[in-house]
Amino acid sequence: MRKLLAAFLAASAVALLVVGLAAATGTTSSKAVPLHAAAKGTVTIAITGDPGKLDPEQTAGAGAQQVAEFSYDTLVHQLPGGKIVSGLATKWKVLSKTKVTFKLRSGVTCSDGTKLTASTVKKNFDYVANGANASPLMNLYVPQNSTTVANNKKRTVTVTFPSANPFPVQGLGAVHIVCAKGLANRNSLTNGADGSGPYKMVSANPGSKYSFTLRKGYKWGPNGSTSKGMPAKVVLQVVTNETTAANELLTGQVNIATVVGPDRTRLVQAKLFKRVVAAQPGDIWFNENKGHPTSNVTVRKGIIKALQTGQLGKVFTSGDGVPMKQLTLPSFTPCAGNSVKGNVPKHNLQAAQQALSGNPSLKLVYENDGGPGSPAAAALMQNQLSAAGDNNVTLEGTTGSNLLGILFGSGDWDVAIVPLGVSAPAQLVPFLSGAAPAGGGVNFAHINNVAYGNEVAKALQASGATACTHWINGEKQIFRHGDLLPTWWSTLPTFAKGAKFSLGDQGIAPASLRITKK
Amino acid sequence: MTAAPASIETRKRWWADRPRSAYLARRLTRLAVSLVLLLTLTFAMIHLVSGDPVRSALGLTAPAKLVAQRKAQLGLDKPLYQQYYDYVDRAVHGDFGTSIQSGESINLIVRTRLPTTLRLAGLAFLVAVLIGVPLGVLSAALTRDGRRRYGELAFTTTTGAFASIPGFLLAVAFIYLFAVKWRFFPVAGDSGVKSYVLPIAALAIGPAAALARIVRVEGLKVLDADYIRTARGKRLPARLIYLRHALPNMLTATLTISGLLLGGLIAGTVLIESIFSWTGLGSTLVNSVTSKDYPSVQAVALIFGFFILVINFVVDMLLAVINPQSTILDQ
Repeated sequence: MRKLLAAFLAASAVALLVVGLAAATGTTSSKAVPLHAAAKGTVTIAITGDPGKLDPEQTAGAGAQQVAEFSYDTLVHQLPGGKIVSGLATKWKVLSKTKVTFKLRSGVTCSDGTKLTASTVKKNFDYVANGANASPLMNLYVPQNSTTVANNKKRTVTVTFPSANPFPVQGLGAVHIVCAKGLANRNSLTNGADGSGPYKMVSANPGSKYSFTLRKGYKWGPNGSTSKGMPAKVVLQVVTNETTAANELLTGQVNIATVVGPDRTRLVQAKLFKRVVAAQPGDIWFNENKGHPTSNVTVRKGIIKALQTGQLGKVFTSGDGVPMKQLTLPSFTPCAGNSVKGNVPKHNLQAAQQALSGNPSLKLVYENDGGPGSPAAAALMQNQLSAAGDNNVTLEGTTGSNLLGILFGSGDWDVAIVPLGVSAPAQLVPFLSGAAPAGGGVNFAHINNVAYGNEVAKALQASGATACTHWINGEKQIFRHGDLLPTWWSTLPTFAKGAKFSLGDQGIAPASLRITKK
Repeated sequence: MTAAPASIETRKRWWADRPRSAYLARRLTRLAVSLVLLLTLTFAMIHLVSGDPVRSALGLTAPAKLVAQRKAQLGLDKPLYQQYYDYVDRAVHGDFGTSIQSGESINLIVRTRLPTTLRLAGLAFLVAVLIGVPLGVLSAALTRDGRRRYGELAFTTTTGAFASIPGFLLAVAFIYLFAVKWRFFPVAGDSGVKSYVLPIAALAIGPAAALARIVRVEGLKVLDADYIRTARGKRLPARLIYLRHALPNMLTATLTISGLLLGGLIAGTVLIESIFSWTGLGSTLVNSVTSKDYPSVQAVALIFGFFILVINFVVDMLLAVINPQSTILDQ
């Protein structure tokens, strides 16, 4: 029996050995270096999902655009607050409502050493503007059928649009420029890169990590900045689980991570370096299609007067948000200003009770698989509407895909919480006017606000500050007419340990990356 | 007219004389039916999503043209029967299509990430068996005939607790203790031997405890059998009694439960890979669900289902071969 026991113990020991094999090498010291510890000169950044296809002109995804920031350049860069500074282009001029020209910097080279020419930039814009290529950047940054003329000698690129373009510099300036070799072989960009950016991609392991090395002699960063002081290597590591990202950040396995959920509390307590941007707007929409009680402006305004937007905003953002001042992302909007103040009907219980005296039946739809914000805000809205005498509010929480199905398909909703984050007011136009989904458009709320349309028309005919005044006035008309209720922006904090950075319009700005002692 | 019944009788007799071949044929038919059901269910998945799955994947601000183009690329604009035919045809030829989110070939994604999942599940299975079986046999030997009551209590309590804690909870606890607090192991990643310890431990401990409990129960039954008493009466060495006479007779139940555990371990990789940032098919499934990439979800669900069906088939076949007296041949 003893021999048998010894045999069993030996077998168990073998099994345990498998588990503890490596542990034996590192269990003696609590100061053991973590496996992925950022080496000297390397900054490891956790990205929340796999960016997928890396071709910067075949994806508008934030993840892929963040990866592109390291190996590609843009014509200009937008700083927080909306200021535009030079990038590949040193000068630019809006020649008319439909024409803009850029003067390229001299001496710019691609990662393979070849020169970046005006013709190459032209080919990038031609590719995006060609409908056959179905680039998601088409009409987002480059209008369809735009034509570009390049002059290699003068290093100029002139783009003509088929109709008025309100923000041509911001739009064209946001396109990551692919170099000639990559343009000739687009398949090579799916899991690789060919750009003039500050870093050269040295390896791409989809779903796992992307590694970059700093290019020597890089001197065409934002406002002519050079690579001096930037880390020699950057690794973008896919970490989908937020708790894991927070743990890796605290133990030094990664240097930078965005953490939104409950784990952010731990990171705040650890007093890590932090930068915050607005993420999602708490937009409340009303279905103005015929037959819905919310097609009546009195009912819409009654609902708005019944709601307390400050409380709703706090609940929507779990207390970590900021009040909305306009519908576009506050950090990088090209038009500064406050379209909300004084234009959204104020909370007035008596007026709300009067407007909702008919006890209208309202179906409130919201996404219930995107965090606790929307469900909590919906419950509070039901409560506040009940206080205003409307006890006929039904809540319908549903998945994000189902919600889009309802908005773009059945149309069976009256009030909806739908965050629609855009970076320029022109991007809102198809959602706030024009054809409904049945007519091939995206105006899912069936908004028909003539005053807004007039302001948009004026904005498209103007430029600069005048255009911005009209864009802001347009939003004011939307709020005054009770077409949409803005509440608060939720925020997205990015933490760092052993590094610091600034946030640009496409995520972490590579030129701002620095290694720090702590 | 009389030839047919004779032929049927002949055939019946032919199968009756070959119980293992008959069982193999029946089991293969069941496997084929299960695979057809699996294919149909994974196909139905994309159509059960209310609304427009492509719009949902590409987001609210995606241009209508891009949505239409992706739908055409995925064949979602074709009639339903045509889509089903195309899906089955592609699946049979091992072509899983392209991801909505990235436009990448799903075949490539599977090819590069499946080995990670199989490695994780395979190693966890090995550890579970190497711990569970000896522990179960040892416990049965030490606690047979009502001996060592406290030992039995300790064994059942401990293994019961570990068997009932979900792997992902163990993973979170292990990371906090061994990676964040004491820093013995890395928090995440799959490079280097050290990075294997926590994920495998989190995945294997529950199944090892469950296996140990089942092996013990089987062991107690076997050790109480007449042939073991006879062997003891003949004063055979303990090594012979346990390893030659007792262990093989415990294998039937052990093998059955091991097959189920391996299937469970493959499914368990979904959360474990995500928690430990391993780039396998499990984390791909989580990412695809999060990003609403339904073709990728379909493909991974199909592959996981296929593996589980095949594992169950292999286990059933092994049981039929190892134990000819097994009632499995009658099923």
